[in-house]
Amino acid sequence: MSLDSPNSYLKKTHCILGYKGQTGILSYLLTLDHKRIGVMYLISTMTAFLVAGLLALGVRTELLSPEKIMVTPQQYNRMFTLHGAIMIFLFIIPSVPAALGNIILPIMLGAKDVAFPRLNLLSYWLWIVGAVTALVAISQGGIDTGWTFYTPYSTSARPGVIAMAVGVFILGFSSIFTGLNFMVTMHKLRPPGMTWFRMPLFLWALYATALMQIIATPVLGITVVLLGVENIMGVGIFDPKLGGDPVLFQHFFWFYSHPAVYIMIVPGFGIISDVISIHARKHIFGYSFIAFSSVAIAILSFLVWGHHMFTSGQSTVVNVIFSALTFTISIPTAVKIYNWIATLYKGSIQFTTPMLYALAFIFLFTIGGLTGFPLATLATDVHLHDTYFVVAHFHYVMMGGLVIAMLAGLHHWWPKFTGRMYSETWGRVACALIFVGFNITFLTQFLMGAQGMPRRYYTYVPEYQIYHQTSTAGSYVLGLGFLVMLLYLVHSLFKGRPAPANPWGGATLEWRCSSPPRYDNFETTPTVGDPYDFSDLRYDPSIGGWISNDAPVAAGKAS
Amino acid sequence: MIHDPTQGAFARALRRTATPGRALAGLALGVLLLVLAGCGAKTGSLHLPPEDSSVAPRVDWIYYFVYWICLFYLGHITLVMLWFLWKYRRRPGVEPQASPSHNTPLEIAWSLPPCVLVVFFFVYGFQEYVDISTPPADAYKIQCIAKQWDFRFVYPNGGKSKELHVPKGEPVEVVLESEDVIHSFYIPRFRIKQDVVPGRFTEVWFTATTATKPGEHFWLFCAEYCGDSHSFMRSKVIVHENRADFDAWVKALAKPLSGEEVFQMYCASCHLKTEAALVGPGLKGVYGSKRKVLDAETGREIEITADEDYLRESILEPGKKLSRMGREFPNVMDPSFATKLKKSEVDAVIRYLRDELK
Ligand code: HEC
Ligand SMILES: [Cu+2]
Repeated sequence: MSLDSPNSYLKKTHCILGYKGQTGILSYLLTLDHKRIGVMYLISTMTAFLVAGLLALGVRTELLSPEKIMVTPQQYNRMFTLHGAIMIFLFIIPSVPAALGNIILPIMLGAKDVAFPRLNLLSYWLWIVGAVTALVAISQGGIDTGWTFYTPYSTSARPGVIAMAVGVFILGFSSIFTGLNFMVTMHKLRPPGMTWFRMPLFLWALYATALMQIIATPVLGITVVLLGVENIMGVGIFDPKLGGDPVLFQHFFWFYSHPAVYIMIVPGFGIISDVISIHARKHIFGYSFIAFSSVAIAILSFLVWGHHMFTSGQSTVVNVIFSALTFTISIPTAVKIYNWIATLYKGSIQFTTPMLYALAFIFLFTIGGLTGFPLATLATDVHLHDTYFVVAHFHYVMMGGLVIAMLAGLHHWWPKFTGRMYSETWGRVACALIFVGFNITFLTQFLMGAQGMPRRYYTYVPEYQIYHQTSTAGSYVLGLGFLVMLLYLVHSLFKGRPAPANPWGGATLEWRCSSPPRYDNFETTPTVGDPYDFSDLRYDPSIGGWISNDAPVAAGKAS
Repeated sequence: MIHDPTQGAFARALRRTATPGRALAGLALGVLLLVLAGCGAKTGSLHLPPEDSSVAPRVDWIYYFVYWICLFYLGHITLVMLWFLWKYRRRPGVEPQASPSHNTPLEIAWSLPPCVLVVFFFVYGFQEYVDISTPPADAYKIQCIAKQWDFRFVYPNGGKSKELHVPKGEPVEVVLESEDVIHSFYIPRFRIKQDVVPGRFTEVWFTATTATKPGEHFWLFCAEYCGDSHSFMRSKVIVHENRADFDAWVKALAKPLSGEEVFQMYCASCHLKTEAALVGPGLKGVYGSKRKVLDAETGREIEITADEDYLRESILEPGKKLSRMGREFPNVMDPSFATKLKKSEVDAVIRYLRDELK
């Protein structure tokens, strides 16, 4: 198949990544192609995001007034539980590694697929089975425990919780398999010439993530099994009525969930490093620092779980140790920000939609990171713990950080895997709406929390109403931003300009194959250079993309 | 169009800022920041509520210490970023300029200040925390029993109340226990919080430094999610001006509660004084009415008149007969009123239902 013109290639495809002789829904659902699996993940996780986002708007609407607006306290509690659980387990954890990672990782390596394509498909279907189990659990009687499932509340006669736990258990395996698959792929399928230190930083980040997924997720499985043993066999583990210890559950839970926080954010660091560098046409600053810090974070993330439990009654000594360890992990995380900013220095910065998201990420993630300090500081955490301050903090990290990074990556690679360009204008409008709406929603929550408003409250004393109303207003702007995004992305699939092979001028390997890539990605194994050296590329207005300096002017052949 | 960064933009920017209009804008920004920080901490600020315990001013000091440093970091990161974005924006014909892609001394240099600062955060935070978590030996002890969905306080003389009363200026230690799930004892104006964990005792202490005015109070919130009415789980905290006042109040508590007091303290979290339902049915007009109930023993529907015996049975052995056929309400009424309430208190609340909530 000729790659001469991306347009001619596109005409031969029927839908996103539709290959010759491979059409129809089954060929998609049973595909072994990493790109298609990635796209299925993308659609599934984005659906979860949509549902959880709508729930969040419901929660915010109810909070407009301390009186009932549309739901009862019980329904409200179910709503915020679902919002949290769906966001975390069905969206944030799989969104970047499983969706974007699957699509991009093998191409970035110049490989034809991941190391174990069948395992990859299995991961996806496990994800579906896990998600469906969780949904069944929910419909069997709402779950209102909060996504943290703290015992003994969660185990006191709530049958849905066990079913939900089974769902989470299955999702855990999906996550472990993806981690394993990626790790082996990066060890075994790197092309000749790509040493570890020539890997794009997104791959380093995925590697660190895989490490955490493999080590931490089994603990989640064990916790779920222990919950089951207690509930079914009546062995006292967490329930004080049976002689168990409810705080033990919190240890187990956070031993997984704290690394999970980094499973969520570290891939985001990788995306940001790549996006900033490419859209500023500048070599990433301090490559090895960024690469090592991802791994350092992966290791340290196992040593800080106790900071979620400063007020749980664990001993003072333990609290002091966890506080100290928490401060150590803040350093590699924080200093990266300087690296990204230094990358901009003397660059040639283009304000494309992915870049705007990446810049928004720097600002929002900085706030998210900095507001972690008063929470890691013991004396102030006593006041701030379990208030809206914490809610705002982790939304800045999870949403301002990971979700925004994911959007940066989505817009960055969208032309690559769909073969279509979206509207830049609408892309920027949506980004601005999301940025403004997000800040209105969550900056207010810092103040409200510091004033003492506890989280997970259906009603509140009137002093807090003005904060809640402001926050809710912001959330509507945020929602509007996402709506706009949904519209122009879908529009681009049908009406978008066909994408050139390299629309942004990236030097990593995925920009060397056509958009969208052919089934086996590359005709020949590409040669590997420095992923952040852009000197060999120049812009060709006739195809609207970047080509190698040695390429003849007329043909858009990029190899 | 080649730029020399030391010559051009920064100097020009300085010159530009020096106009009166900009100086004013700068001043306004500075004032705004001060307001944001809030100087009158005693009366509360944009960030923090008023300081009403002995630890609060010190906690707030640490908060602002961290806050200013964080604001400095956010500020310079954002400004440098915006500056670069403007200066190095893509323009036709302008190529990116070469600069080193790493610089170890620089990278070490910018990592060091944060390393030092977090040591300060850590040390201040943990010193104060050790104070917050170590009650003085001579503290006045009050017992707190948390359950879904209220706090109950027991004073040394056996008196019980739903509101927390404490004297001003004296250390008070509250010993916490939970009857069901985890709750958390949180008084924002005192800057203290402690989880209440079933199966163990935890304690929290504070010295209130402001007396509440008559009719006013501070809030005690449950801060650990505990189920349906979690957000209704809050109590008033009343600080008496002096010990004599407080002692007189505690003394009066030891008397058996009146019917209305029993209702307020033990029933109002689930029952309203009207006909409207909350967790359980509204109790207005129950007495003397004819009602269909589900007899839990036989599983059959029977019709009864809600006389004193029925009310007594409903209170002391809830679940034996379920109102409205057990369909509308979960059978969650506390089964331990037989031990919690004195006999005279049960009589009093029944009289209250009969006479006052007709
Ligand atoms: C934890 C919540 C809760 C508390 C506290 C509680 N109740 Fe109830 N109560 C219920 C529920 C739910 C029902 C309905 C189910 C049933 O009949 O057992 C009920 C039923 C009743 C009934 C029967 C009403 C009828 O329509 O037949 C009476 C009388 C009653 N409660 C009195 C009291 C009194 C008096 C107190 C305080 C001493 C009290 N309850 C405390 C939850 C509660
Ligand atoms: Cu509670």
